[in-house]
Amino acid sequence: MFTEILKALRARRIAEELLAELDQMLSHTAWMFDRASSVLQRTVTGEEVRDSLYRRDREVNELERSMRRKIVRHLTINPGSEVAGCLMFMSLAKDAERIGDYCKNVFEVGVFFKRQLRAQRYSVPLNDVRRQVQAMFDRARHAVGHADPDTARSVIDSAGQIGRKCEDVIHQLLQEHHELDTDEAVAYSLLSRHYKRVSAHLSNICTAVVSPIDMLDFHDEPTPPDDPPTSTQS
Amino acid sequence: MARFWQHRLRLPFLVQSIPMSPPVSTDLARPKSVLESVLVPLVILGLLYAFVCAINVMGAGLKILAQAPATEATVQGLFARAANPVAGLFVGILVTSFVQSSSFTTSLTVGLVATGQISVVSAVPIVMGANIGTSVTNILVSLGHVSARLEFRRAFGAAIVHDIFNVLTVVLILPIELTTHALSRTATILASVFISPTETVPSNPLKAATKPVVDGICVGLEHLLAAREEWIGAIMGLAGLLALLLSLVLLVRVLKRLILTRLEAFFARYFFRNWALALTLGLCVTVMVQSSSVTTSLVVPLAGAGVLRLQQVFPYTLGANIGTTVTSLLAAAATGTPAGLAVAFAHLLFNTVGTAVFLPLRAIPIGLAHWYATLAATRRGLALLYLVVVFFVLPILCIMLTR
Repeated sequence: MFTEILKALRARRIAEELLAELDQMLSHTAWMFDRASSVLQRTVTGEEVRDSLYRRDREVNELERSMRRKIVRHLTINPGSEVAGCLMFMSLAKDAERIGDYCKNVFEVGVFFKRQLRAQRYSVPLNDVRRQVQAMFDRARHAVGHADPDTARSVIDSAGQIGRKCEDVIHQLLQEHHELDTDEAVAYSLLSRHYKRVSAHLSNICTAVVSPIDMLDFHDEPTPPDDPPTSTQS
Repeated sequence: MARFWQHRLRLPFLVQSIPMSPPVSTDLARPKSVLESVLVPLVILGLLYAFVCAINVMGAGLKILAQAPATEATVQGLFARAANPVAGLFVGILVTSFVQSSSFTTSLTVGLVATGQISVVSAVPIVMGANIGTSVTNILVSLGHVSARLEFRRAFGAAIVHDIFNVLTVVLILPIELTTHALSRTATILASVFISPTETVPSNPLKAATKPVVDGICVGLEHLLAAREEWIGAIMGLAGLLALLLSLVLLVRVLKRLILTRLEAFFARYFFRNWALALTLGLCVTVMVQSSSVTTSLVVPLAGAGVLRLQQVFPYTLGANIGTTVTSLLAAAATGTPAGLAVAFAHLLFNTVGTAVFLPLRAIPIGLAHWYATLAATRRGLALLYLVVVFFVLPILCIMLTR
């Protein structure tokens, strides 16, 4: 109990605490993505990774709940204080939690599809995408932790490229004329989808560094100029 | 790790044209300059001094009024009504409901007892009523959640559990007090340990410190109003009353800003994980902020949001109830009289005994609160009805009936 009291007395300001927890969430999900990818590449088995991966996911969920509780507590005790920032963190926590869910989905593809992914016309671009997504985690953490707009924009750009690559894979699958087993096709389409979503959520998190609060999660629309709103806008 | 708020001028979303209310910044709660570090404690000490002066000015004014030939009978008649315990109970509820501060009502009562206007026995029901009346703030806060049914059920439950506890404790203790005066007698004995009942000229550093102010106001008014002592008494009494209210309100405001933002982290789940921690937290925070209305109303939105459960809120509320007795002890110390101190101890004993009885039996007040909150969540009018009837209509009716 003494430790808890000291911790409470030394509590950092809300923004620092929330940033620290968000960083923890991103760290956990980066690990999850790496492990799920290892299962896909058959360097480890699903059984070796399952328990620890799901445990990490529970930790990610608990971190999201912790952030929400802190925000409610902060706004109750300090009404009107840092409302925009708190709302922003609610959104970021949701994005980070979704990344965890998609990492689990990638793991499940690796577990349910028992064979090797052999069709190079799909596996090669998807491997590229996987490597790009893996690299995005550290960049996103840096962008958010240091409020670095340049790194944030590079993450957003990467997400855009990844999105286009994944769409290309899907289009190709839909126009597939060669023989491809159904389960393998499903695996490729699911992986395209999951990688795209992971990169999109990392990009959403980075929009907090470069965009106003009403533009959070919008990264394919141009940032409006700083003009006063017209009478039809709020 | 860099901090968003240090870069606020560079981060576009914080300087956009979206209107944002100026933040009630946590910066204000943490003195950044030496001036603030010196000024804030001085302000608090000043307000405490003003509070103590107000009690003594009011007391002096009432004494003058009670002794002045023109007003002696009126004053005696007015306070004679307070001898009726039922009237006293509902006066305590009504005054506290209007002012939203049990500290004000109990401090006022201590002042009245210290000046001999009412007895300790008559004061005890008033103090009990003040305990009930203070939960009106919680209920008003919970009404802010009325548009979301589940949220409102949780918030309203957290608000009325305080009130239900106080009512149950009054139902338990008031009949015992009326028949045996056990509470007032015990409180008087406790007070005599600290101040001898035979002391005719109480020597008290607080009273000595406020004497120049009291005497100065009295002399000043005498010069202005010649020999009209009933006017002097009335003005001093009223001025003391207003100063009491104002000093309490300002003191709570300053302490709230200073203390609560620092203690934000203590409202984490760890400190609510068992009844002992929650009770201690409620007690300590209330002692520091000097207002149970503030500290108990804080947990209502947290309960509404589902962050805290009713089982966690209840012991915290009991702690807050005990913590708020510090203000009446402070008022009693200001008066320096055994009778005043006895009322303060009666307040403390009432809350302590209630806690000792209903903490083990917490299923009763929690169950009642949950039941009524569930009803009120489906028919929101019941919540308003509860507020209006319990805190205003019933007290007014009962006071009129006891005339």
